[in-house]
Amino acid sequence: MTVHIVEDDRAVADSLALVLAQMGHAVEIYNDGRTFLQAELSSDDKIILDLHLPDMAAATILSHAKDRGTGVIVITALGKSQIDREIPGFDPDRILRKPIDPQMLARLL
Amino acid sequence: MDDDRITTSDVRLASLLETAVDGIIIVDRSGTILVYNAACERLFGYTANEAVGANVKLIMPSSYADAHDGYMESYLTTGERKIIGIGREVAARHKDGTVFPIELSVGDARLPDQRQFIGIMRDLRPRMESQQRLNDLQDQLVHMARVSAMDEMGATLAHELNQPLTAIMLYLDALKRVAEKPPETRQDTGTVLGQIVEKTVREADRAGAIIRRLRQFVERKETDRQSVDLRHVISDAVDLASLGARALGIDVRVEKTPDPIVCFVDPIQIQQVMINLVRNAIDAIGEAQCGQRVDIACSVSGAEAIMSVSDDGPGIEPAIREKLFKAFTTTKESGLGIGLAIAQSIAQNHGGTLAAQDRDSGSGTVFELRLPLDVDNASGPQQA
Ligand SMILES: Nc1ncnc2c1ncn2[C@@H]1O[C@H](COP(=O)(O)OP(=O)(O)O)[C@@H](O)[C@H]1O
Ligand SMILES: [Mg+2]
Repeated sequence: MTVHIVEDDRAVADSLALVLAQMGHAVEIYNDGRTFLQAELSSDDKIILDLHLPDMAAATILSHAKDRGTGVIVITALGKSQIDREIPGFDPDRILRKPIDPQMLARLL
Repeated sequence: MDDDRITTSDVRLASLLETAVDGIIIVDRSGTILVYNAACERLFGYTANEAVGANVKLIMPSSYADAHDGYMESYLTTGERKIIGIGREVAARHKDGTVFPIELSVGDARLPDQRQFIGIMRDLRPRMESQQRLNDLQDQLVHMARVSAMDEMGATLAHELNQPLTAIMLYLDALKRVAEKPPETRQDTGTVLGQIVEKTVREADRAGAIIRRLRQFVERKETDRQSVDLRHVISDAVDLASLGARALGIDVRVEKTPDPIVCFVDPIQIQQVMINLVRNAIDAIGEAQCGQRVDIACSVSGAEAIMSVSDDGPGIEPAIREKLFKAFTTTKESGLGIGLAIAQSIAQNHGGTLAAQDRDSGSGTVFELRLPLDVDNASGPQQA
């Protein structure tokens, strides 16, 4: 299984990758939505998605992931009302608010 | 008959002196007070009894009093005027020692047998106080607008600080995991740890820089003009104002300017104007969900620097065009509508202008801030 990190903030993506690598995961980083859509996905992969990407609505990525049966964890610094607007109905247990607790992340993976 | 007329005119003069709102004093050529009206009693605290017969130095602060004989002497011998027939602002002294500003005009009365001087005096304190109060009020308003601009950005700032904080916490977690590994499985632990620490420090710096810029902007109250390169002012302002814009998919760009553009300004106030203009542009694009770019440029035209902020948003609503720069004009739900009013008064205080126009091509708005160049320091800018 590979963990795909879709996050435009390079430091957040890099630090996340480092922690996941230390946990023993294979990791890929994408700094925008377009690059991610070209990636190979398999159903046992996991996606960590930053809610606010500069080039794409989160919903687009979510439906792409759903088509391939890949699980998504959303990370965000946005407030609740914005989360509801962007991805209405998304399982709140799979949303991590920044700053992220690495323990929680490990449990979700 | 003659006596009658003199009496009438004496009475008239006396009542004129007593009802006058301004202080009126008549002195002879040696400076001895001959006439001292009721307004003077209120103004200086001495009664007419105390003042008449004394030298006029009585109501002057000592610095003037010392020079006064010299002034009188030189006027009487050479006719050189320091004050006679001119009128100016001078300091006076109350009986209780208080020194205060008055406006003094002096006339020279050449009587057949002697010279007399008539002084008319008005207390300037009320006028100055109201001027001072007005200045204080304006300072406060400018400062308030600055704080409120940051307040509106509160959520954005929290978001922006969250990113480095998230990275720091994850880096630290990674550090812990590396350090906890049993020694035999470690490779190059030293270098790895060093690299992670370095990245952590960089993120902490990033968070610190955001806070520092914010503090600098909000806390500085007093006006402090200096020769600055507008390019620095602009880049500081845009760094702050464009926080969060990227997350909205808005591209904020500053056009590169090769040469310094130096103006004598209060850099914080000019930053404030630029932040307002850029935030307004971002708001306009964000709210209308139309457009995606804000361009900031700076150039020189004649003796003026021109800073422009242009956006490809929806343009200014026709309903508010006329009163765009008037206070409390806003189309935003939580807008105060004082940003542009204050920005324009800052521009004018600097001898410049602020104006808005439609963009040449497509929809959108261009705001232009023009400021006089600091020609003396055109090539030698100091720190912004
Ligand atoms: N770049 C712009 N594009 C469209 N409208 C603008 C722009 N800048 C300002 N405005 C309009 O001018 C109004 C007044 O702006 P301002 O004085 O800064 O107050 P506020 O931002 O609190 O509303 C805004 O509410 C908006 O309607
Ligand atoms: Mg505004």
